[in-house]
Order: sequence, then C-alpha cells, then structure tokens
Amino acid sequence: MDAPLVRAARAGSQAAFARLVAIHEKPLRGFLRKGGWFDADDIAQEAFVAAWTSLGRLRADDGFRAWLYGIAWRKAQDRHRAASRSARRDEDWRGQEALEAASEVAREDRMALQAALDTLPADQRACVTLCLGQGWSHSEASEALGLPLGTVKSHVTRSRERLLAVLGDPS
Amino acid sequence: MTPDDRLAAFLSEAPAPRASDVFVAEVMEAVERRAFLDRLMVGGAAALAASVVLWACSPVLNMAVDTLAPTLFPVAGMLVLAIAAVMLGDRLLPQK
Repeated sequence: MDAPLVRAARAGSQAAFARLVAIHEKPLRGFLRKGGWFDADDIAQEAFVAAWTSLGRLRADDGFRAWLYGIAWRKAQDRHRAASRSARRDEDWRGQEALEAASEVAREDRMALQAALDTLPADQRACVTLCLGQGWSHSEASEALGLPLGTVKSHVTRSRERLLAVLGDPS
Repeated sequence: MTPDDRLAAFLSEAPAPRASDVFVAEVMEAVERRAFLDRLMVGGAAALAASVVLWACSPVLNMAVDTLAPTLFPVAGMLVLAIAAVMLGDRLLPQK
C-alpha cells in the first residue's frame, strides 16, 4: 500500500511523503504514547524527518511501516535513556489525556489497564501495543523493534495475560 | 464484547483527529527546513569548490586575459553595440 508513495517520495515528492505522514502519524503517535514516552509527538516528528532524509536506505518499499516504527523506537530509547523516571510519569499522564478514549472500554477498566500497562517494561509495552492494539504480525514487530521473534511472542503472551487479569479474565 | 476486544480497543487508542492536521503540517515544515538546509549545504559546497578551482587556475586565467584582451577588445566593442541595438529595438518595437 505504501510502496508507490515511498517510490514517489524517494524521487523527491514532498506531497507523497505528506500522504505517508498522514497515513501513519496517528497509529505511530498512539503507539509511542501507549509506550509511555511523554514526548511522543516530538519523537514521532523526529522519526518522520529522519525517515525523509534516509528514505534512500530503505531496502523494501513495502516495509516502510516497520522501518519507520523502528526509527521511532530507537529514537525513543535514545532520548529517554538519561531521562528521570519521575519526570516521565508526570508528563505521561498529560500525554494520555490527549488520546481519544475508545468507547468500548469503560472508564474504570481504562484506568486499570493504563496502570497495568505502566508497570510493564518498555519493550513489552511496545510488543503488546503493536501486536494486540494495531494488529501487527509478530515478525513485523520483531523487525521494527529489533527483538528476536521468540522474545516478541513471549512478551505478547505474558503482557496479554497481565492485562487481561486486570479485566477479570481468568485466561 | 470479549475482554480481548476491550484490550485491543484500549491498546489501539490514537490521538484525536483534530490534532492530526497540525501534526502533519509541523512534520512537513520540518522536512522542508531540512531540505532547504541540505540544498544550502550543497550550494555552499559547490560555490566553495568552484572558488578553489578558480583560485588554483588564476595564474593561467590572468595570462589568458592579458593575452586575449587586446585582440578581443574590438570584438567586445562591436558586441556591446549590437546588443544595445537589439535591446533598443525590442523596446521600440512594442510601442509601434
């Protein structure tokens, strides 16, 4: 789906790249916010600009999405390695407010899920958000996050169990 | 709705649509700024390279100018006259 736009953008079309940004910005920002990165929008913007400047290095045009998320994921990790945890928590709450709450999830469930999600390590949050929230395959998430396939599978399974337990699901 | 569905709905929450247009505009502004800086750097590097080449060639160029200038002087004068005539003609013609 992205391949024709990627080819046009690589040829210098900013309009094509703007279309790619419009397609991917919401899920990418949602992924980063669910991942607990308080400056998710800044990271997403940096990732898009980096993607624009290094489009020539993308090997498979169809792999744009995983490649873009990989850039964003690495940027998020670099940026927060030195950040203090308390500051992140304060800002995290502000970032979550700007998300559009899903109508299918009750307010109390949402708060409990958010609290449970916050206790997960960053790579587990990323795996579960991509695979269960955005419907990615395990292999695509593995490629984007630079994690072994088996690790992604176990992260998803473990995180799913912990999050479902919050909703009162025995499985 | 199963717990899995509720979990998926929670995890797929995205920013509100009203913020999207602003975000895309900000990204494209940053992209354009980066493209401008790249063009500026390429242009600057090309100008620097050209000036170095011209500086290196300056003895030869000076010699060539010294040798050719007296010979080309009448030709240059005639060219200036011809160009002036053409420009004057262009200005006068539309007025007719």
